[in-house]
Amino acid sequence: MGLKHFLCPELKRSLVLRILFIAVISVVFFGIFRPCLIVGSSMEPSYHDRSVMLNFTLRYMCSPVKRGDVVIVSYFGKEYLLKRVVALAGDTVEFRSGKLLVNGETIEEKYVKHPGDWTIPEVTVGEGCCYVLGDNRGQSHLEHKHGQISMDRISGGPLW
Amino acid sequence: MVKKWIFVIVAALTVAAAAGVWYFIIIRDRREVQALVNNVAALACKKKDNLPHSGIFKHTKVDELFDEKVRIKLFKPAVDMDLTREDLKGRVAVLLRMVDYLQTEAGNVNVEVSGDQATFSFDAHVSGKGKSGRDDFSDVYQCSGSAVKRDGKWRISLLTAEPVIK
Repeated sequence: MGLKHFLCPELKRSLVLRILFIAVISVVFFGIFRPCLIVGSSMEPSYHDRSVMLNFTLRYMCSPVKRGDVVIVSYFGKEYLLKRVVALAGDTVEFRSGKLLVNGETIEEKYVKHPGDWTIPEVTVGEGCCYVLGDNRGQSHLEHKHGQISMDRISGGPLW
Repeated sequence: MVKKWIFVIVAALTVAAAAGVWYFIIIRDRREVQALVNNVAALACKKKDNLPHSGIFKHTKVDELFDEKVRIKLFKPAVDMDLTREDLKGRVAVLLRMVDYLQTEAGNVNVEVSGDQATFSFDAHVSGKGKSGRDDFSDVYQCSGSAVKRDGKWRISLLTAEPVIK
């Protein structure tokens, strides 16, 4: 087999199919379903530290973000945050002794195993924003990244 | 045959000339504003073993990076003011005296250029330690602003910053 044949192989059907297969796999796993490593325990017990999941980047292409959705937030560079949306634009959010209130109503959060004792004054979620926080309320709210983020920062949601 | 080659060479030269014009008009300005943003991030840095003359260096940098009058808008603390370069130098000096060390990294820089005006946005990861036993801090801010081109140099005229998580 000469150098010319190595660099410019004959375009047989099998070669074209292999190239197409690699291209499709690359698009799927680097574009649509991006593998992510979860670091930290802010979403325990729903998602565990050092576990792997796939970020479905097209989740919100045709459907809006809803209250209760777990989303992946673009933070800085290749660092993302995994958080749950509890309120949307125009809603009010408040914590009283660990209980979440949205628009004055107490929200039943079955995904929270350790409610904690957070007390945070009422805030109104701004236009184009949503309020996100983790499920692990056992952490102090001062150590927990939570608050309003711009909807533009949501880059998808976990596949499972 | 000769005419064909002349045509190919002329076409190649035309494409190269168009690419060169496009680079000098669009890409170069965009790259200069991107470099401006990175230099602003470098201004908000302080090493632990800061050398005595680094303050003078920072003052020179403010003259190079900012317009004569700059509008600064911060979400936290709530700041919205117009500053001259001298005011800005003073405030940069105060900020750097309040910290033991400070590291600022700019990422996701986007620039749009239109003539002698440009708008930009970027994320800034700010981390460091306050003086006198204060805690370490680390936060990410989404920043935006505008720049103007004067005498062939881009300078920032507006800078806003708010935390990614408010």
